[in-house]
Amino acid sequence: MTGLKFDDLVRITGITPRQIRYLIAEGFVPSATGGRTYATYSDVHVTAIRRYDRLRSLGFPPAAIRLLLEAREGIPVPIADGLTLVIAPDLIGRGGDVAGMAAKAAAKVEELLSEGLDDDRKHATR
Amino acid sequence: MMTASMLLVDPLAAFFRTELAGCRPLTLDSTHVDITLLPPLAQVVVVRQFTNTSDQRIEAVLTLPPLAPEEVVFRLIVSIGGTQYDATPRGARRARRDHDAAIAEGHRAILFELLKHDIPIISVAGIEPGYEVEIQIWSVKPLERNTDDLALLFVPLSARHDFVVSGLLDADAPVTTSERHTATLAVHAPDLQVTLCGQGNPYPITSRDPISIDCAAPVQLEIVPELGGSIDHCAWQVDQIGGWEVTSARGTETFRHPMNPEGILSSDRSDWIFGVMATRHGEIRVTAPLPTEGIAPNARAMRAFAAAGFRESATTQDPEAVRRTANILSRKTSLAFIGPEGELSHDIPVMRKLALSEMLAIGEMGVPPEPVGLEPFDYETPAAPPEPSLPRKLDDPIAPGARITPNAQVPRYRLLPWLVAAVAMLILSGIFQLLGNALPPRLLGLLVLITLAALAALPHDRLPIRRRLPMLILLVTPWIAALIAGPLLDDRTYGGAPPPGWMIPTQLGLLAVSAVLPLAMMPFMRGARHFTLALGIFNFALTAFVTIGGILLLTPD
Repeated sequence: MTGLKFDDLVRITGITPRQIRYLIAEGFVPSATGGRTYATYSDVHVTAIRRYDRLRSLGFPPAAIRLLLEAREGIPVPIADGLTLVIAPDLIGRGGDVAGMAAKAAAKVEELLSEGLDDDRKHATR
Repeated sequence: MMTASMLLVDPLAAFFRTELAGCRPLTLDSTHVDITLLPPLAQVVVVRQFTNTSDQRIEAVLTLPPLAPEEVVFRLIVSIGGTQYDATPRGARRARRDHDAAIAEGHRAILFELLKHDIPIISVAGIEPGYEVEIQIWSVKPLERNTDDLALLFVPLSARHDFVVSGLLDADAPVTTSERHTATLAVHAPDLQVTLCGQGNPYPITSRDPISIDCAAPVQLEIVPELGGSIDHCAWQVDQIGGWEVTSARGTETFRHPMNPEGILSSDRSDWIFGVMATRHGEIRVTAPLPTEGIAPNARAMRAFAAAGFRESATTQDPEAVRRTANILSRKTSLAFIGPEGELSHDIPVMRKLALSEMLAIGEMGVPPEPVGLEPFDYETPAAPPEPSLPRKLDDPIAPGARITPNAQVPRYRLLPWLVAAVAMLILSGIFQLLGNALPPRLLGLLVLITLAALAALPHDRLPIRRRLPMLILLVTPWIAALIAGPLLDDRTYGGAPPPGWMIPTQLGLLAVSAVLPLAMMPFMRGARHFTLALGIFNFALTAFVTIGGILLLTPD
């Protein structure tokens, strides 16, 4: 998506215009390109708004979101007792092959947490 | 190549960084509170001033503490760089939509709305760098009554730093700062003894002169009546046009009307409205004038309160219309000012939150500064309201939304309209010459007159409509072409012979073009869309007239 108008951005993200202006002013979302007359937005803006929205819904306050995004160390998301998923800020709200990544994460968790090694790995170990 | 996704080091490290701060909020320069006690009500005017200290054009957003129960806000006046704006009521959704659109277009725009839990929020957009802004909020609210002979008034000026309202967006949430600013208080309380509390030792207020107060602590007044005074009843020329009366004790109300037949004052005044508000301490009944002209002092406040609890009036009135006339802020109605179109800044204003002072915790309020009387200063108290009006500018050093940069855009091509008119006349004459007939002198004269009238009616140089003029000229081409390509200017009428086969389809095609052309031009006519639509409809009517006339001539049967 490119060449979006401000109204399109509001419609796609479902966020109020004032909240979007706030996110732009605070640096959570980049400014429009093209100045006032030809202000346009793109995927980058949609993703940035969704990322902020997801992180807020996870309970992070704005200051913490700013730190996480600017530090780029990753966003820690508690999954279960003793298990925290760390996600790169760029991935949040971006879409893409979410199901594939989720499957890999699930496989890795299962591999790490299950009681014994599976048959293939047992053979490899021998 | 390393990507951002691979930079996963320590997920908690970010929380230990302190150097990354957000956009600092704007802070207030001063706050002045002007209270007029009208028992059992109080009119409260809070005037906040701040300056755009940034180097950008901004939208300042201030979230205030929640309104008190039964508090009625009835006026917002904003002064930006010396130009004053009165906000007027609009439907809340429409006001917000218009406000957002105006900001996107770079216009000056002011919006005062109520969020959930009666939290007021003000957005003032289009503040140039260095401009001073003053926000006046007028409200009326009941006094607290714990005992018969004591009334209390509480006016919060600050907010707790951890004040959180669930469901409020970050853009709407209140922001606080530990920085202090100058704050003053003036109280007008005839026949009442007033003591200021909550600001150190109790401080008796004996005159209307302003005193300094702590902006981080709320204003708390204790009010007791002097001999002859009352905290249950207040009236001002109630038997005369424009007068008012308010009471919290049945039996003290004097004006006679259908809901109070026991009143002793009868009058033939036809301007009154009557309202009843239920408070925690009983009913408050108000009779006030509805019109905006010729009303007594403080009648606006009384009208707002009466309109909020509207019951009846001397003449039949719609409650919604009464509330609109009284300029009341509510969840359904916001107060707004939307600036007119004009030369605009190139950039969309940057939003900046405006911070309230952080409310002192109980433990910190041990030794607050003692209130002190100030020398009279030249601050203009807002007690004497100017005449009410629709949105207006009392002063206009710079037109709202005007471009003030040194490189202000001067309209180019001043002679373009004359040049276009001359070329059009030449082309028209040439067409007639090609057709073998000279342009009839009477038609020529008529066209010259039309052209001169059109040029005289051209919009002002600085309006966007004028800048779009070269494109607007396109709109007239369909009907001119229909005129030229039709039989109306041809006196031969083909001598009974069948007309050329292309003529009627061409006429119909031009009619279709005249309908579609203004719509197709809309995306390019920012700032002149209404004018384009009006001109498009006018041209469509002309083309339809020419087309229908032509077809009737060509097909007389």
